[in-house]
Amino acid sequence: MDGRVNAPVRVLVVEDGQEYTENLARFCADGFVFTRAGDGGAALAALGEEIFDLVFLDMRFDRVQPGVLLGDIAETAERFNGDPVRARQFLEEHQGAYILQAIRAVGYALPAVFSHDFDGEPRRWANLVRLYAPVDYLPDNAAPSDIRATLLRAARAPRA
Amino acid sequence: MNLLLWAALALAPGAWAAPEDALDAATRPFFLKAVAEENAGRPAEAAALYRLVLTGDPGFLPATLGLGRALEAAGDTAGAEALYRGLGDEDDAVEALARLVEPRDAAEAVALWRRLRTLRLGDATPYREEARILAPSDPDAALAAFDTYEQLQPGTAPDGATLLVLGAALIEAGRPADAEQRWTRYLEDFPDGDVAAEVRLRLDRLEVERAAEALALGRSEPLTPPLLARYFEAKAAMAAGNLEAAADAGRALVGDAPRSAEAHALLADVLVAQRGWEEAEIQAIFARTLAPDDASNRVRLGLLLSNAYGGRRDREAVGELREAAILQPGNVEVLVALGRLEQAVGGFALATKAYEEALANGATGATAIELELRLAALRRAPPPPPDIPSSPLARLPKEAEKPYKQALLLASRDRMAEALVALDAALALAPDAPTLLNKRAQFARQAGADADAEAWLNRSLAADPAQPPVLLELARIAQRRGDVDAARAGYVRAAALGAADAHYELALLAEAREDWASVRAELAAYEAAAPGLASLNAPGAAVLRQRADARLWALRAGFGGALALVLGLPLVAWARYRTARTLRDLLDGAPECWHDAARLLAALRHEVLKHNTTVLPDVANALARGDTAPWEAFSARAPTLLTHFRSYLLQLESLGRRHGMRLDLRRRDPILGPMHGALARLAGMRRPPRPADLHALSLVINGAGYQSIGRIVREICILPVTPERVHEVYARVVKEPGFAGAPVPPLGVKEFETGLAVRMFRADLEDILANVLRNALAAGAGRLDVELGAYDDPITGHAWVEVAVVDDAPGTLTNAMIRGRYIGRGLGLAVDLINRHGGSIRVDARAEGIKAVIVQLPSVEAAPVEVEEWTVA
Repeated sequence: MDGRVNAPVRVLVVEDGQEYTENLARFCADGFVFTRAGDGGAALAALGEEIFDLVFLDMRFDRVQPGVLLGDIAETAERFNGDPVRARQFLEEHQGAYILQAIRAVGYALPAVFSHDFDGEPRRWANLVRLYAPVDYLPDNAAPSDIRATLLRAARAPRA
Repeated sequence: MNLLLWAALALAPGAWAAPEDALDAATRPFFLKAVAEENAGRPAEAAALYRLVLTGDPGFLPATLGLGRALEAAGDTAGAEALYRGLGDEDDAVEALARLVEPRDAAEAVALWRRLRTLRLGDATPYREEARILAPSDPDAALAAFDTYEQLQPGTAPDGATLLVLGAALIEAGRPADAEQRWTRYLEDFPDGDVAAEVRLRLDRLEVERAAEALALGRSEPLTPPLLARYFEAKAAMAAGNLEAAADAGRALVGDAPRSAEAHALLADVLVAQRGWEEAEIQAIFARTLAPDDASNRVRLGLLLSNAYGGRRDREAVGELREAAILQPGNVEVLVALGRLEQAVGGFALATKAYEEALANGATGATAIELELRLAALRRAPPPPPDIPSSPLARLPKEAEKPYKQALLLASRDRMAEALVALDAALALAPDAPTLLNKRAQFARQAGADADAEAWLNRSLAADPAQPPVLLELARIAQRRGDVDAARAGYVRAAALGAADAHYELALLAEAREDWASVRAELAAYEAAAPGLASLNAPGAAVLRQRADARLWALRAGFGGALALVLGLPLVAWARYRTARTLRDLLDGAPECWHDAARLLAALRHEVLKHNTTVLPDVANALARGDTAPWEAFSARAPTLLTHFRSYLLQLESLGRRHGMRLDLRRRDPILGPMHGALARLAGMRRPPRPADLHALSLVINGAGYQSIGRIVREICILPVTPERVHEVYARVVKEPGFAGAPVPPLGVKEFETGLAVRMFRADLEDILANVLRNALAAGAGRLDVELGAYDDPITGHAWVEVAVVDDAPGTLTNAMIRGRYIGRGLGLAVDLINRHGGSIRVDARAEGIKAVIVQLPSVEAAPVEVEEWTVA
């Protein structure tokens, strides 16, 4: 948080809808400022224009046009026996990870929080921590108080 | 430079003057990563990284060669070939090109190897390869090349495979003495090892052939009456199952009547029954040589070669059976056996002919049914070769590639004016390339110039009329400018070419004119053509279908039926309610839809419930404090939430219809029904409710419903993937009639990681394993290993279970063949199952002559709960 005392936590919310942004703004407004980006490209643009303390990521992006999905659909299709439909589906279902990968690739090391339930996928979560730390997650049924606590913990965690 | 050595150097930390030293610091890590991905057997990833390196340094040769290898491994041989040809006299590229073109054009391959002689003076490899390729067509030239090859590496064992091929070619050319001389010389110099053992076997076979030829100097001699009596005694012993007595009698008979084809044939049959394949083959050869015009001797030897060698000698076997069919035309047994073998070796037209003749000659019963099935499979038009995603570049003329790539790069950086200049430059070089014309149209559309886009798309269509996406886009443009007739015509053409979304667009047009019957028909066509539920229009189609159903129903009821409607409606509704099914019924009755259902449920849980409904307790608490603002915000969104939830229910019900089941999830389903009721109640509330009511509704949605859906998604059908399971499947496969008694290799299973599990029914996993293993055995694998491991996706972290079936079977199996379904029925079934379970299958080359068929399936991490069939905890 750049050493600012009592400054609100600036959160970039990347989601294909509006639900997170609206709920967070309503139920976690105190001490936070939320900015929404609708896809990976918009998230990278926002990070280039503003300073954020953390990024809050949806995982599944099935309400955006295929053209704005990050990830190479041709390459992904190679992994699915050449099937571009399954490739697009895979990119949609894991788009949050692709966006975080792009964020890290261009050099942003800010903490990230996924809104996704990794409770049943310890190996996958360990992989994501290895790839993208600092990173945390919130299961889908997290109540606003849990969200608030997780965001604060992530934003205040010491940076490497 | 040797490719493997180079790759090893590239990976060696701190290697002196490694190739990547020529790269700048920013590009170097990508190159090293590309090499690592390639060595790890992930060609698509490697290709992407090599491309990235070449973007930074287009002249970096190791990356270009690496890209070529990766494209080959991924099945894009056209792309790889174009790359290699572009490198001119670069020796590694010439070698790679020679190997690539050999299956298609042996003459060019020989010419390339000869070119390589001058590029790599003193290298023995080009001579060896030339000998191998020329052996079947020009044994003398092959011998000359092989001599030079040996001279260039004195004291070193020559390549065994080439030596064997050369010998076989000499025998085929009627020069067995030359073959014998070569092989004997090899044994003198290198008496140990696998190649020596194979050479000895071939020499033994030559001896047998020669002995048989010597015997055949006279014709087969008939058995005398006393010998004939012993012949029938031996037959009777065999029929009674006393094989040892039959074998003893047969051997004695052969000893007393060495020129009797019947005696040798009898002994061969007894030995086959005893699984004594090697001796049986010798006796069958004697019988065939003594009486070559007796079709039964040809059939015996052919079937023996086919059955005893697990496919390795099918080509020899088919030769014997073709002779038999000529000797005994119209014999159903011969024709059926011939057809099966022709089909096994890829002679599909000849197999079809044999089956048709067998049916025409009176094949009946189970044989006739089998033949009809085989004919149906053979007559089915093969699917077109797959459009490999990287092919747009491959289809472009080479000179247009660079400006096209520049255009893409500039467009990705939003420098559209420059991108347009680059694209126009590419178009000047290749004015009829659909890839360029389509991209030009896309640029025009982005600039809002529909008319221009339309002109470019029409040009593209003129160059290649079979482009459903282009037809769809043209129709949409026509629709935007209000020309509905033109739009409809375009959608019809696109639909005829298989574009599922065109049916959806036609349904929307029909809806606009209130032609509800057409809406239903187009939606039915859409559902039949759409790839699973993956189409972007699937939710819209489900909603539209519901609307059409309602309107049609109302129309059919009509005004005159109003009274009947009033009276009959409750009865009809009650009947529909009673006959409708639940989610559990669907999953019980159609377990093959499990993956689609699980995907929809996971999406519903994540997209609809997530933070939308988890705020309910907080909203209730705010109401208790007298703060109504959160409730107002929530209630404004509740109707949308309900619509979204219903859309998922409709998609599930559509899934049910695809599997012949009418679901009523809102009213009948014990999990989704109450959730829908709670959401409907929330959406219908006009005034702030009591906080206790909100808490109660939250419990229904966030408690019971959320947990139940999660349980369905997570906890069923988790199946461990273990060496024991692989061994069990293999044991079953080798006991199949096709391999009975045949020499099959022992199976080695390596487990690189324990605790592997996938989500599928046991029968499906075992079918996949059995079909891949069976395919390797049938192709003649002499070595067979299975490697069990895991692969972690480097972006999503997702783990995949990897099952690699490694074999040394001859013959070609490529990724393009798998994708285009130019494969046998068994492997095709495995591919279908793998696709259904969200996995993939590919072929990787390992060492020379060794390939690995790699099946990847999504890994699951929960505790294993194996089930034979669907159950809900």
